[in-house]
Amino acid sequence: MASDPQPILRLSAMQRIERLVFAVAFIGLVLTGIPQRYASEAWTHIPIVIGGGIESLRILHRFFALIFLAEAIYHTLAVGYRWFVIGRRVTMLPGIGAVRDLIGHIGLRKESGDYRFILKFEYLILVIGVLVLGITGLILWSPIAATTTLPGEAIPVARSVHSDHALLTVILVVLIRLGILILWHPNRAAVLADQPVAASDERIRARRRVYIPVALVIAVIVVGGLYAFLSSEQTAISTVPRRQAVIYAPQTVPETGDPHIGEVLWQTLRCAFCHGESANGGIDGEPALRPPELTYAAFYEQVRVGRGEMPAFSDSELPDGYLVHLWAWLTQPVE
Amino acid sequence: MMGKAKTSLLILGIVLILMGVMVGAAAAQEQGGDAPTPDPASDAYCLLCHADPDQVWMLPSGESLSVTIDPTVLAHSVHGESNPEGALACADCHPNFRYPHPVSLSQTVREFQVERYAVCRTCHEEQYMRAQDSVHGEFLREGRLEAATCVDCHGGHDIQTPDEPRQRISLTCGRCHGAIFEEYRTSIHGAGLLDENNPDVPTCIDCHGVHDIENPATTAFRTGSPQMCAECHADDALMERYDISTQVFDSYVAEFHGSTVVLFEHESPDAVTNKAVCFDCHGVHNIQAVSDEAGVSSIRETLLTTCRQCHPDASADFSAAWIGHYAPSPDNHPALFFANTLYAVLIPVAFGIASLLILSDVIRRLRRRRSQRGNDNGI
Repeated sequence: MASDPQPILRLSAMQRIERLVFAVAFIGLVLTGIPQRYASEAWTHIPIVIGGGIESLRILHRFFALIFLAEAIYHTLAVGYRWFVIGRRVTMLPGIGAVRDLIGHIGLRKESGDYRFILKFEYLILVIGVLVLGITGLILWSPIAATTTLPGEAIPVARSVHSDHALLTVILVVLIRLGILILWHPNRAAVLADQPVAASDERIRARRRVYIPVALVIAVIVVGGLYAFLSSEQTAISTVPRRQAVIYAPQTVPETGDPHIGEVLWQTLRCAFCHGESANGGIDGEPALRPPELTYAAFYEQVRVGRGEMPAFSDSELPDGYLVHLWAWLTQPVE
Repeated sequence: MMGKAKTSLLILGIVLILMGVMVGAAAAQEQGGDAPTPDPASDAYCLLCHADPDQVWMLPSGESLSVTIDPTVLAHSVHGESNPEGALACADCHPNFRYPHPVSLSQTVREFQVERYAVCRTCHEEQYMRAQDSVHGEFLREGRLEAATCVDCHGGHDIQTPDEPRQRISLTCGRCHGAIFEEYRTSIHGAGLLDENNPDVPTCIDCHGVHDIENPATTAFRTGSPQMCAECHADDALMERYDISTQVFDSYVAEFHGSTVVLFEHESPDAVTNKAVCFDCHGVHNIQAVSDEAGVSSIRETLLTTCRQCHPDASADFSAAWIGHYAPSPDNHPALFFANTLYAVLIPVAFGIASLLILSDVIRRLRRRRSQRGNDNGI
């Protein structure tokens, strides 16, 4: 007697939409994320320009991240429904058999033509990716809120892990998809076909009455929590305040003079030319000025007005502030 | 009688001749003896008046301008005896100024100075044109006469080599930018230059340029400023002398703020970004060392305050997100170090396994195809 044909569960319409949404969000995240990771490389110029600049690219990245998160939440609840209400086994996660298949394929020992384990590993990679990238992404999205409970170092760690894990996920998914496209043709329906329906119609109806409200509450709590967390802060001000500085201030007078500056001024102005390198008097009898035998007021007057052979120095040539430095050097005890 | 009259006339004539000779001699003495009048185009001719220590020109504004020239000062300037092209004459810089001088339309001393500085272009065309492109040139064209001309920085007659000694550079800028100079002189850079004559620290022109000085208030200047700091702080040989990490720039570019700013610089330097650049955290002219104890404790204490300038709601531990400019290690931010190490291993290993999976399958298929071909040939 021939056995009954095994029922094949085709992908439902919602599952197809899920796959499409997931693929769009994943590709969007990759296209907007990779240029950010390699922002300093010249080749990222084109995707960044296409994205409307780095800030637009970041907004787009967050947009795709939201889609990705929404899809992840829906998928989790849908899997929960299939497991709890319909009673199917959660078979997309790889078990020992899948690991054995993987080792067998790499080791060239087995040629079964059964590539379902590939899909299971891909699924595991994506589940881990959603968890790691989701958590680290949320930390980066609202770093101030995150550091109210996490140490500050969590932010650079999250940034590093987010970037590296995204690269890891992309590499694996792209390689696996390439393999699926060129070499392997695993039948996803066959994977799902392993899932025997264990529950009766009454049981399904009973469980649905429990699951749907609970799932809705969970969805509201998770989405509400995410909304609250993501909108909880304005991480940075939109415009860095411009520094105020007095640009043109020729008559700035310091409270105390710096003898080092005074010494340099002595050499660079014409002082040393007449009064000697060390202000110890000139060869034509110009007076020694170190230490000066006059008050600062008299010194100031003489510089500004001049006397005899000594020319007057204007305040544009020798500002008042520089005279204070000059005086500090002249009055500094000679070693 | 006639004889007496003749004698008197003769004596009178002699007296008059003698008086004439004396007056002439006195006049000649007053004019420098019998020295010839100098050529009107010569320096000596100019100095007949301008060597006078009290020569002053009164302008319509009521201001006075000293027009006394000390020939010794001129001779010791770069345009004097040491000039390889030969000492300049007054007329080289003051053409068409023969006496009587042409009438100036300037009302004030400053107007006169601005009117006159274009003469520098005669010999220093390149520097002059670059100065026209500078913020000083731009302001002068806008009528902001306080902006510097060639003469304001280099002097009129007492022109010395502008970067000898090196401190002269910043002292020159400080004459107009006194408030900024006062900040700079107490900074790590300013103290190094002015107190220690350290040739490695930047003077004003190392950051702002020389003649084509860019307006530092622009967005483009701000966005490009990390590259400016990197010119010294990414220089291994230079930083090694001070035990300063050259990772400061790379670590900045690797993190969020730096990567954004570098992108802005490449893509749209005039677009405003709210990401911090070096001077937002370290200060502009008042930059202090972070290697000394005071600096480290000061920075740690004020880091949160610094962060809150742009992140006003920053939580108390938020500033710990900044890991500094040193690469993470088992001792310095171990969590980050281990995360980086984990993925440095995981990514190539995962790539290897996935590649191996594909490669093994390709090999298997090739073998199968060959064996099938062998079987076909056998038939």
